[in-house]
Amino acid sequence: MTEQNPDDTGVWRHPAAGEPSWFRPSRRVPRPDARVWPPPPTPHEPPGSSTVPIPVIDARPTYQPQAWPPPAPPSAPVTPPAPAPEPPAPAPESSGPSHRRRRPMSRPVKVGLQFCGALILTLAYVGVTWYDSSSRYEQNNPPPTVRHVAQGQSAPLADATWRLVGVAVAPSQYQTPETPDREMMQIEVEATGLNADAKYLSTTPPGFYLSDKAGRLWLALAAKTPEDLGAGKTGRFTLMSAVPKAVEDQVELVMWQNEYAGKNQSGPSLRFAR
Amino acid sequence: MVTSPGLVPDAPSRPAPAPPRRRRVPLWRRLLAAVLGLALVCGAVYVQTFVLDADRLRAPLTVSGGMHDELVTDTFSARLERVEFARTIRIKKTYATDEATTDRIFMIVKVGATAPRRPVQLAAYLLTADGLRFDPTDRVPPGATFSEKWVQPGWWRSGLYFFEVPKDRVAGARVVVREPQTLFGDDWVSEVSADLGLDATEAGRMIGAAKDVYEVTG
Repeated sequence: MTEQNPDDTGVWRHPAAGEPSWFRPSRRVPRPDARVWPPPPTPHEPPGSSTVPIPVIDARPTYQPQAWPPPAPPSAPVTPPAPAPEPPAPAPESSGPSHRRRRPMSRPVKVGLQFCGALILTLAYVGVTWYDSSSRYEQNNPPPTVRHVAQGQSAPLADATWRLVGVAVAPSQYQTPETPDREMMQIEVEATGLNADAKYLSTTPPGFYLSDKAGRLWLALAAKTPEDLGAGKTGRFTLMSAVPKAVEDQVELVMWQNEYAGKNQSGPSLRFAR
Repeated sequence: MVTSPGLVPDAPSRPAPAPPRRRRVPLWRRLLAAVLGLALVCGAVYVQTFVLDADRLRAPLTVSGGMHDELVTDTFSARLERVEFARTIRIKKTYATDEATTDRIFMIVKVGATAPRRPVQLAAYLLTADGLRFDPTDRVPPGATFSEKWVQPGWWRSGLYFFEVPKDRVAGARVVVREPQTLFGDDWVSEVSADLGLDATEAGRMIGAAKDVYEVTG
């Protein structure tokens, strides 16, 4: 920061520019004093010097309230006696609500119409509310669609194609002797990635369940997931599940897109026959 | 818009039609009609007190019971199996042991549950007699509690919930077990509310007999 130069205007000038320049303002001279208070007298404007046309409102005729309906024009009393036979002719073309004569509605008809209107409005309100909430519910949990996969076949779901290798009772070291009514099941599933997103399936496996014929579900947790799963690569999931001994020969593998869909049982799912 | 007065015509003053001859209604019928109308209005106002407020509209369906009662809902059945008190809880982990202490008291509730159809996880909270709500304490990791265990169809499973409560709030408390509420989950869940059956003297006796250390595997 250099010391202040009173002549510096802060505008950069090319050194080659001539001196003095038209762009460089001259030093300002102090303004003369102006009277501020008391306010200076307004300059006198002669009447008629304004360019804005101001109408004269002093001589406005005041409104006189009149009787309603206004009295017929003076010619009216003259005409009624003569055109007495021709009132039907002007009635259709001159639209006047006063000309439409309606029979007053009978009371039961009126009440019935009001009741029907209330009923229709109530039904419409309930219907719109029901449609709104049901469509919102279906958006949040889409209805389940089960695809039955035959034995040995494969089916696509969530970035991969799935094939059931086998459902069998787990080896004895996995059984729990303290709960003799349960059986540990070991399930082998083979997945072939459809696209590159299939690699996420090894860290967040889909929702696997075992289901019996009655529709009861038991968790099947992934004990072993494939290391690398990608487009076109095949990996094998090993699942463990505990089921009651009575249903060990009828449980089937059911899988949902992810754990959340499996918990809500919504969206597409596969059911593998044994 | 401002209209100056006088520009708008006054309201039409129609000549009043000749009033029709009204049937003379006796005074007692008028009084009866007035009383009936008042009663209808009062009834309409009174009926408004039955309208549920927002909290009660969202409230879950509750199945109530006592200790050892099997309380059945659509998604799970639960029963309260045991209530204990302790001043310290020792959590044995695989390679370490943690101790949770409090200057209040730990209430340990053992809950058994099963599910009819699909696996569920259950959360619990404690409801005191004066309406205070206590969530399970965070001094005990959830892995040691029942809230992270899966309840599956076909067999009963039991586990513990740990609550840290002031000693004078224990009498008359209830334990409420429900599926954990998620942000986008089902609005209409059912819950189970089990009375611990502790009056003031029983609660005082059980707190006096509280264990010094309660061991749990986490």
